[in-house]
Amino acid sequence: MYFKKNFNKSFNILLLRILIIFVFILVSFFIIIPLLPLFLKSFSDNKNNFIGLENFINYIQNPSLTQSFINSLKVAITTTFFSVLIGFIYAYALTRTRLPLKKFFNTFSLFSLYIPPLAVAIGLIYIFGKQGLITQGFFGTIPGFDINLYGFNGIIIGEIFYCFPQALIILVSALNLSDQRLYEAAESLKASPLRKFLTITLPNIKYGLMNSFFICFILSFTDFGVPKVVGGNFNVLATDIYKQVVGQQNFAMGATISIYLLVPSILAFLIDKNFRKNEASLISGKSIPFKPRKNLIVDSIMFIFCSLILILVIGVFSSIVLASLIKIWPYDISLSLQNFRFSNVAGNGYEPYFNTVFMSIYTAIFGTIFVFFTAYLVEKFKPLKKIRMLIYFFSTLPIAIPGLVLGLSYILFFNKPSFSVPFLDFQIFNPFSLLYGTMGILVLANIIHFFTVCFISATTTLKQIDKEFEEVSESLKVPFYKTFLRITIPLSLPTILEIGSYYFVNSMITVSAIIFLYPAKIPVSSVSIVNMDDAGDTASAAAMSTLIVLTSLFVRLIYEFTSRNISKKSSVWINPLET
Amino acid sequence: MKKLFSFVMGAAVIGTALAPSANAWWWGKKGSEKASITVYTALEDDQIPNYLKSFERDYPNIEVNIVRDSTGIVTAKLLAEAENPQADVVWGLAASSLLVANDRGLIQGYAPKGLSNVKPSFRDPAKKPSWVGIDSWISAFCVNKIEAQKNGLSIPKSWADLTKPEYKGHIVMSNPASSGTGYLSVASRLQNLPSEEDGWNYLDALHANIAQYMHSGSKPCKAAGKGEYPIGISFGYRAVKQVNMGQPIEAVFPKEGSGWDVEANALIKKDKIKPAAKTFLDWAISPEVSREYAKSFAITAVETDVPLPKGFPSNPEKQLAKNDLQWAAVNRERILAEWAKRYDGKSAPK
Amino acid sequence: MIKKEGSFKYLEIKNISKNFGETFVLKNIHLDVFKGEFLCLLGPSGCGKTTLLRIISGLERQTNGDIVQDGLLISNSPTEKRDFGIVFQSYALFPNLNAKQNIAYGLENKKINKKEIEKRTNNLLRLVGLEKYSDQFPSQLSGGQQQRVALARAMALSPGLLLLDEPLSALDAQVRSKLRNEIKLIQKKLNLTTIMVTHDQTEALSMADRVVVMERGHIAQIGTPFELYENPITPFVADFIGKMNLLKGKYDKKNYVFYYLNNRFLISQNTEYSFLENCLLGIRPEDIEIIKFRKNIEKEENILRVKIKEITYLGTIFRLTVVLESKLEENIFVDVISNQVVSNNLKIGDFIDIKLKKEKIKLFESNL
Repeated sequence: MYFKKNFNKSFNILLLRILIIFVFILVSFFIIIPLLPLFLKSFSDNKNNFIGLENFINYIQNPSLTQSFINSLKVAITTTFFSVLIGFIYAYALTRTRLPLKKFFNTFSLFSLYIPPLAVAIGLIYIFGKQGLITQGFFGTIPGFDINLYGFNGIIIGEIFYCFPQALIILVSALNLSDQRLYEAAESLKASPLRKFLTITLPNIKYGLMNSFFICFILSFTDFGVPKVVGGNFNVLATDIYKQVVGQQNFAMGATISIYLLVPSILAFLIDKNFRKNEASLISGKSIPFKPRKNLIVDSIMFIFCSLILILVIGVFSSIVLASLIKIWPYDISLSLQNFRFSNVAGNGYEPYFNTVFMSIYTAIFGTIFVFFTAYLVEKFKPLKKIRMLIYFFSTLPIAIPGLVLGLSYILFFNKPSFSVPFLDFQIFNPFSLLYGTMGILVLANIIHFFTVCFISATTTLKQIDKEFEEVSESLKVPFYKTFLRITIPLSLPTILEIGSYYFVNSMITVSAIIFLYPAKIPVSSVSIVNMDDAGDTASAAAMSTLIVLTSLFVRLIYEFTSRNISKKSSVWINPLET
Repeated sequence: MKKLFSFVMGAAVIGTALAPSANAWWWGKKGSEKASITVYTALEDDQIPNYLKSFERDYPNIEVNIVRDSTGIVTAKLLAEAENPQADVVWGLAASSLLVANDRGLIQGYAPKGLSNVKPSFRDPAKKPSWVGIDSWISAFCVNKIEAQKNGLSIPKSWADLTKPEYKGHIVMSNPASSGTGYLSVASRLQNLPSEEDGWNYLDALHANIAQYMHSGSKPCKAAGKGEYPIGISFGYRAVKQVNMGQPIEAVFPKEGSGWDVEANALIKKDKIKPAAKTFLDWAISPEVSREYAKSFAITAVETDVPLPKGFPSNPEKQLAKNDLQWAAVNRERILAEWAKRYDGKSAPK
Repeated sequence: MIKKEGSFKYLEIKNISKNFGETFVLKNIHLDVFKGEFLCLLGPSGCGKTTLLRIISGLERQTNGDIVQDGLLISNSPTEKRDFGIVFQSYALFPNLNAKQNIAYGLENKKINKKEIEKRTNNLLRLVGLEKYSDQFPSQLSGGQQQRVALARAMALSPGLLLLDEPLSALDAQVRSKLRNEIKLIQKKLNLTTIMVTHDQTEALSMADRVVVMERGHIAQIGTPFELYENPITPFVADFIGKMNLLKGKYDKKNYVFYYLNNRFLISQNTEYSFLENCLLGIRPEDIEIIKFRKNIEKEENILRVKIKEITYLGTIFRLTVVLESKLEENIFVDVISNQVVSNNLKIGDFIDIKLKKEKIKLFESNL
């Protein structure tokens, strides 16, 4: 009856489907499937015989191990409380007050994130340890003060160093979304500052607040670096895994504890997810951004608070630098640069350092591409809804996987040359095993380890970009990938840069995910810091840490410079995403 | 269409980069014509280059890739990689760890050339031994002389001294659950007192004085060196090294004898065993490299004419306490469980 | 309905339905759009008008039914294979491209040389009157200018069909009426078949050749603005297009009499109504006369005595809200020319007689 168009099946849609399925396969193989051998391990003994729940029962019946579980919870709850509190006040100072030297405080707000956790611990020992500067009252010049670093106190301080910047990142962006008009309306109704805070500020940031609680909880619950160095006799789950796997080669029990470690993380994850379901933007596109007024008292209190935090962070960093320059602390305090000559300690000279820099660059480049593309496919298209939802779910999962668990599962999965098919005498070649022992697996482990935070920030940005851009492009017969390159990427550039720098900084300092994975030919500096520290070359470990911090700082400055340039260029079209 | 093609090509490039392509750097330094072997070792970082000098001189065509890490990590890596072993050779890893690896069937028995030079107690008695020792490391106390004086402590001379009330809160040792050195000390105490029961009683008394159990073998000595705690129970080489670094440390070898373990080599079982791996194992017990070992270790598996390193007791062999490596390996799980029950759970927050 | 004899059916919508599970968004929609016609889809929010537009564009898929455009069956064609341009309420201009680049966006993807693109883009800029603004970014343009760029962009590929999704809703009143005329002019000049979605009846009546009134997923009535106003076929259409008083009562078919409470109204015998006796009487406010000062009222037909409840000034006319003493809650609206109110000195609370013009009375089936 009608002349039917013969090109009903669109090449673009086909391509899109293929891409979505491709990304689905990738995230499955990188996130979910590697966890399976770990699960299997937890149900078997060390000779790989299936023993059901025996490991789990053994664990519960061992009082010292259950104590670790309780300790981990204590650490996580305390750290979360303080990190979010400090993060909130700092973020509030940056966004809602006329804090003097705001730019400075902003640039250095994430400084403590650049310091490897182990180096933080070293720095803390130099300040608060038994021979520390403060404990000994600056070589006896003032009365000393002992905070009992080893144990709970030390872990908490170390964890806060690592967690509070993470809370800060989230809360700054939450507090940045504000509507001046709401505050004006409240003022006209004679609301007190407290009332305004409780009825406007808090409800506006409740999702950000919830999210930062969640992230701090999981990070501190699963962290291993800080408790290992300053934990003393205070056992936590992560050090238990270390003891089982590294101390006793008991993989089955290590896997079992990993599962116990996963449970609260996943629980927290589900609560957060459920909470977010109701998330709706309270701030419309027509909001007028909040402009803080001068308030001498608040501004000065905030200035003092932020200065104290920065002094503490810079103090720890300075003591690391000092440690790298001093010959034998505290007995021979002569300075020298000899500790920066790594050739005689790690045997590899500067190789680990450059490996780490390259690894971080690769992670930043490939990770950003992968994360952003995944978020783009999930967020912007309609086909294959269920698969896209699964990709979304998988992508938000890695935050709940502790680095040590990720590393273990990667070693178990990626070092398998083939899989056997159950009930059949048939082996499937595992193509991913080619990655094992290469730089690739380190990059991959880092990409996945830090995937969630990057993914969430990419989807948030993409959500803010008008969906109709894609529709207009379709009507103009422009294929989606062109719009992606020409419109979506330029509009998301600030976020893309932010993701890249986040990946870089974190890859520079990470230990837990790659300590089992790094190949013979590719030593990395964060691991060599652990080794040097273990071997007693604290000064060299501190020197390497100093180099890492300076590199991250350098990259951060490049980032600031580039993003400032970009926003200058794009100020003509007023980037709607930056606020 | 041309632009579409370039897009697909771009995606393909990213794809192949993720699944690494023929990028030599990415793969590591492959492609050279040298035979190459991967060696897992727990020997100290600063020792390795000295040891390897003679190998590199004699076998310029064999490239050695060293993976160095602590005993625990190396062992864990070996076991985790069981299905697809990456290492060709293990060099200088605690014999007790190699016993575990052998138990899982990861080791290929091999009798290296010159095996007859190795003292009998330093090797697996089998004809093709699964492990062959190179040296022995022994436990020792690191005592910080300055801090001891500050705290009015006398230098402890024996294991028994350590349980004196004056040392309460001044001693650190490695956690036997995370460190081989820690286990060495515990196992040695259990074997050298009249009964295991007495051993545990001793450990109870020691526990009362311990300030902290640390997660690595060298940490207690390091902490002593920095004055964090006056006394650290660690191992001999470590103590001597720190003395030589100029720290105010005295290395104490306890009167009752030291716990000890052998650092040993092994050949990893895999489909294709490289001849270079055997060459390496032959070399690793040669008199020449043994002379190098002897510069850092008081006791070596192959007798050498090198004088005893500074700081060790004059008759090191006599310093060795009774130790049955096999017993220590078999009973490990039981002892650690008992240990954890007694001491680990009690480490409650302050 | 005026039938456009000889007009070419450019777009045929055949039995289109769209449902999500049990809920129908669109139900059995039939619609023909003629070549060069300006058609408006009008209705309250949620009536399915936007969904219908999106189905035509392929941005959404129908559950059932077919679409034929220019003789081709396009029911399952993907969006980019269909021949249309679209303008959204939010403009959806690419913020990082200037006006010219936005317009050229679709052209650049075609195998057209740069000169030709330049020429066409300039023509389009001239068409929408924005030659001077070609290098400005969207954020530097006013709302009306942005919408003109969006319009030019939609027309860049010379589509056979232009789809406008509430294009003027975000603009203020003055700009809106100015742009209304411009769009209409351009549309006529290019003889471009256009479908516009709107909820604003004034907009629909002033711009469209034909209006499709939609209600809860189906078409209530199709017709020219005049037809819809004069001959609404449902009370919904009657009250949506303009204003209509609807009184519920009983109809005596034999005698052409409608009973409302105690009042009887004579109905014109020109139309045969075939429905049940319960029905609605409809009359527009301007079709009611005030006869306060005439004599012999008893002899007049279709008279009601009412009380003035409210007087609203609407410029040239006043709208009176009046009620019956016996039914105070039912408002009846009466439009009166201003000077009549002033000269008669009408006040709130006054009793007046009103007369419903017999020939203007319509009856509707009561589905309330």
